Order: sequence, then structure tokens, then C-alpha cells
Amino acid sequence: MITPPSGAARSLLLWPGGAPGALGKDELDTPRLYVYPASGETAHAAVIVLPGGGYRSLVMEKEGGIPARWLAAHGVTAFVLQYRLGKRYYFPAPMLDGARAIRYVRSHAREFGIDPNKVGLWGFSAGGHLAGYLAAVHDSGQARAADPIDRVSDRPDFTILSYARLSLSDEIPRATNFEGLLGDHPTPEALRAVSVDRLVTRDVPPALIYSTSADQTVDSRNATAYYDAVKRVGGAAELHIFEPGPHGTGMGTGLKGLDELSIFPEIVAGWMQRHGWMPAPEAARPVLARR
Amino acid sequence: MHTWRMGVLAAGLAGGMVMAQVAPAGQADTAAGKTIPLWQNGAPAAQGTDEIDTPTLTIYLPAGENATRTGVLVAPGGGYQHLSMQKEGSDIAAWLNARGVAAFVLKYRLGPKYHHPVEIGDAQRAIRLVRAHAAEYGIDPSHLGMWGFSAGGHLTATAGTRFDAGDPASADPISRQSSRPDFLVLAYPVITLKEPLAHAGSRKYLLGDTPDPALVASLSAETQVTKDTPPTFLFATADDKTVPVQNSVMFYTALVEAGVPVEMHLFQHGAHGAGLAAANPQLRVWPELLAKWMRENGWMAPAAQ
Repeated sequence: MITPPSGAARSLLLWPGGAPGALGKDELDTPRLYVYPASGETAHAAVIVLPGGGYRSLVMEKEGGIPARWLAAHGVTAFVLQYRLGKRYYFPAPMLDGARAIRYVRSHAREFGIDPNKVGLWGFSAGGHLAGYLAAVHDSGQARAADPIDRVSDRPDFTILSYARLSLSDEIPRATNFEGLLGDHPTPEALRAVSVDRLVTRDVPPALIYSTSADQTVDSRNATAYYDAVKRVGGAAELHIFEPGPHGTGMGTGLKGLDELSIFPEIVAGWMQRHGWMPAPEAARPVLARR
Repeated sequence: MHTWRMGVLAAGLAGGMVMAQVAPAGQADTAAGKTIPLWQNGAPAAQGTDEIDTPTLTIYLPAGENATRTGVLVAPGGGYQHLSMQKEGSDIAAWLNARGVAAFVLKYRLGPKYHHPVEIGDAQRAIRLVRAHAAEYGIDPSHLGMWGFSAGGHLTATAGTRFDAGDPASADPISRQSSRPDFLVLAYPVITLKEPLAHAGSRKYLLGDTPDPALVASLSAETQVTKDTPPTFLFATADDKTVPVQNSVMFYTALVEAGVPVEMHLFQHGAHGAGLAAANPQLRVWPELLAKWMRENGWMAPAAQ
């Protein structure tokens, strides 16, 4: 069972008629979005939060509800995605769910009061892998699709990648082989096919990458591998790797003995504000034009 | 603020006149600022007795308590051809002093008059000198970091990857000290001297026009990291057009592979040579990140409540 993230205004199913490839109609078969609307009249940016959990579970509060509520409080409409998981579902089911979530939010931009050109992702750990994958592999939609959701692009406009597994290169130590996504004993080909650093193209959206050098679960060289890959294709990226902190530091706040990390939300806010994805602080807020 | 020039060298070089100038500014900002030569009786391999032949240390001690008894040797940048003595020197000393940390700004010798190993020799001498006088400066000799900018970052990375414990038999008490910094701060550093990511100017002024390939390799700091390389903090910007940001990533990766504690912040926007970036709203958080890292490691006292 999955405990929903707290504080959502409502939830909605990505495919009310059933997800493609679904094996049933239970909660685990029905990917959904939890909605955290930002208040105010302006067209907000949107962020879909992708919790981690090794593609086997979902860390719904620390890597879902907490960042979503923080975003909404800072004028960004947030969504937490519940995507399908192993051992019931494997690649590419989570990717289909993520892509659908982007198209869903974008195609309902008016209803949500958001700007369809400002739809970002914030993924943690395995959810960060999913965000990185969606930043690398996307299309502009099918103009003549019957479902209006399928007519819009699934390219995120920006990504925040927190302690994400972004490379499956053998040069980077790893404790597991992504069994939650790929099943037991994945082949080298299967691993390469989801190694995000190999997949990025020049269309990769701007990324803010966060990691800690002391992370023993997802080595921080995942972050540098992705950073190098983005630089190689001429993309934009910002990288913050703190020295202390184990895997799973969430937003970096409220951690005993890790006060140094608590500045990270300020870095996120500064980066989003500079790009126009988060309203400027009250004192300096410009009048935002509705699109 | 009154700024005086200690000396100006103008040398005609291919491509135009290049000025090497050294200006210890900022004395008005700090109580101290006494400048001493690294060697009382002339530096080894000196080719004269002018300012440019005389490496020095300018000492800035905090007015308040140095609670963690920490000192930082500051290596300004300038492509091994001049020195940014204010923005990457005295301004840094003032920032450290304001946070209760002692600072020592290094004026090291430069190309084209001086080449390797003169530069690293000056840096190592400065580290040993501060250690030998640690009690006088109110610091713990095992709390001596080095903070370098750009080419000064290369000098700092070099100091952090080639050091010795000192010569216990030496008659000179300074030479008996270790030259290993206890931590490194690298701001938009030059790390590699190899193509394609090298900063050509730094290589030219450090090694001359036709450098020995073996030296190019051994002075590429990313190839010299061991488990004994000191803990390191790296800062750079992705759109630095002078020193490719990958220099920082290479050093980070080498440190992680060696198991050395390291932190790295690579901002998206910002030109080379930002210094503390006080006027740049996109970058000015970086010194705060450094302060947090130094506090976390016991090299700076907690912020006043």
C-alpha cells in the first residue's frame, strides 16, 4: 500500500480509463497526481515532484509532500506523482507515467492556472532518475491524437535532480542494478538503455543538480556524470555537491547534525527565481504578465 | 581608498604589452596588513632584488577572537603572470578576518621571469613560515588552509598534491615545518595543464612556451591526488569562458576516487574572476556556502546569534 502525501488539495488519475499495460485496477495499478495549488491570480510555474524509493516504493512525504508544500507556499503549483513500481511493473511503465503526468499538467494548464511553458520536475533518488530520463527522452506530442492530452509535448521545461542515479557506467560504484526498474539480473544493454548520462541530447532542459559526497547509496559521481553530459551537449546546469550527508537528505532541512545542508532550499529558490519559475520575494516582485 | 603600487613590470611579449603589477590594497579594511619577505636574505633562484623578485606574505589578523585558531593562506589569481591582489587577496583577508580567521596573502613569483618550480616553492615556503610562527599569529599549526583563485587555485591544488613533512635536520626552523595545507579552497581554479581543457596562459607563464610534456602531466593536479590530499571546497561557474568548469569537475572526481572529503558548487552563470561576487545576486551565496563548510569542519566559529 502507498500512503498518500499529506496536504494535497485533491488527487486525479492520469488515465481514468486505466493505464496502458495495467495489470489491474487497484491503487498500485492506477498512477495519479496529488495537487498542491499555489494561491494567487498569476499564471504559476508548475513542478511535478517525483519521489524516490528505488522504483519499489515511494517516499511520499520527505520526497513528495514536503517539497510540494514548500513549492506551493513559494508561489509554484506542485504535483506529487504516484508512478507504477516493481515488482509488478518494470521499465518503461514508470517512464510512461512520468511522461503522461507532464502532458496532463501541460494540457490542463488553464484549469490549473499555470503556464504550460513552465512545467518542471523535481525528482529524488530513483525519482531523480525518472526526471533525468524524461529530460533526455521526450517528444512534441502527436498533433492528431484522439486524446487531447497526447497532443502536447512531454518535455519538462526544467529539472531539479536530488541525489539521483543518473549514470550506470561501470566506472561509478553502485550497490544495486536498478532491479526495481529492470527486474533481477538486468543485462548490460538494459542498464545502458536507462543510463541517463548517455541519453541526453541538445534539447535537454536546464538542470539543478544536488548531491552529497558522503552518499554511499547513490555515488555523487552520478551528479558529475550528468553535469558533464549536459555540458557536452551545450545545455545549462548548476551543480551543488555538499560534503556531508547520507543518501536521502530530502530538501536538506531539519536534519540533525547537517545544518550545512539547510541552505539548499534557498539555492533552489534563487535558481527558480532567476529563471522566472518562481515569483521573486515579496519586496522585489515584479508584475507578472498573464500569458 | 588610497592604493599604492609596489612595483610595475612591463614586459614586451608576443601579442602586446603585458603588465605584471602587484598592489597590496585594502589595508584600510583590516587592522593588520604587515608584509614580510618569505626569505630574509633573498629568495632562492632570485634573479634580482626588485619587487617581482621578492615573494612576500601580507599578514592580516582578526580584530576579534580566532576561536578555531584557523589561518588561511590566500593565493590570488592572474594566470601566473600578474596577481589580483585586492579582489582575490586583501578582500578575501578582510572576509576571513570578519569571521575570526587569520589570513595571509601570498605574493608569489610569476612568469615570464620565473617558471616552475619557483611558484610552488614560494607557496610551500609560505605554508612553512606561517606554521613556524603559528603561536605568534594565534593559530593552530594543524588548522592552516590554503585558498586560491584561478591560477592561484592551480598553485593551491599543486600545494595540496605535492608536499612534504619538512626537513627535521634543517638549521632553518621554517624548513622543519610541513608544507601540507590542512584544507583547500579552490575558486574557479585552473587544474589541468593538458589539452583540451587547460588554460593556455597559465601553462605558458608557469612552464614557458615549450613545456616539457612530463611536467605538463605532473602539474595537472587531477593526476596527483592521493588519499592524503586535504579536504577541498570547489567553486566555479558553468559559463566561465576563461577556465573551463570541467577543471573543477576533474579535481572533484579525483578526490572522490581517493576518498578525500570534498564539496563542490558549480553555478550556472557568472564570468571568470568573480572573487567573492558581492555585487552579483546570482553568485553571492557562494561565500556563505564556504563559511558553512568551514564551520562544519571546525575551521570557523559559528555565526554570531
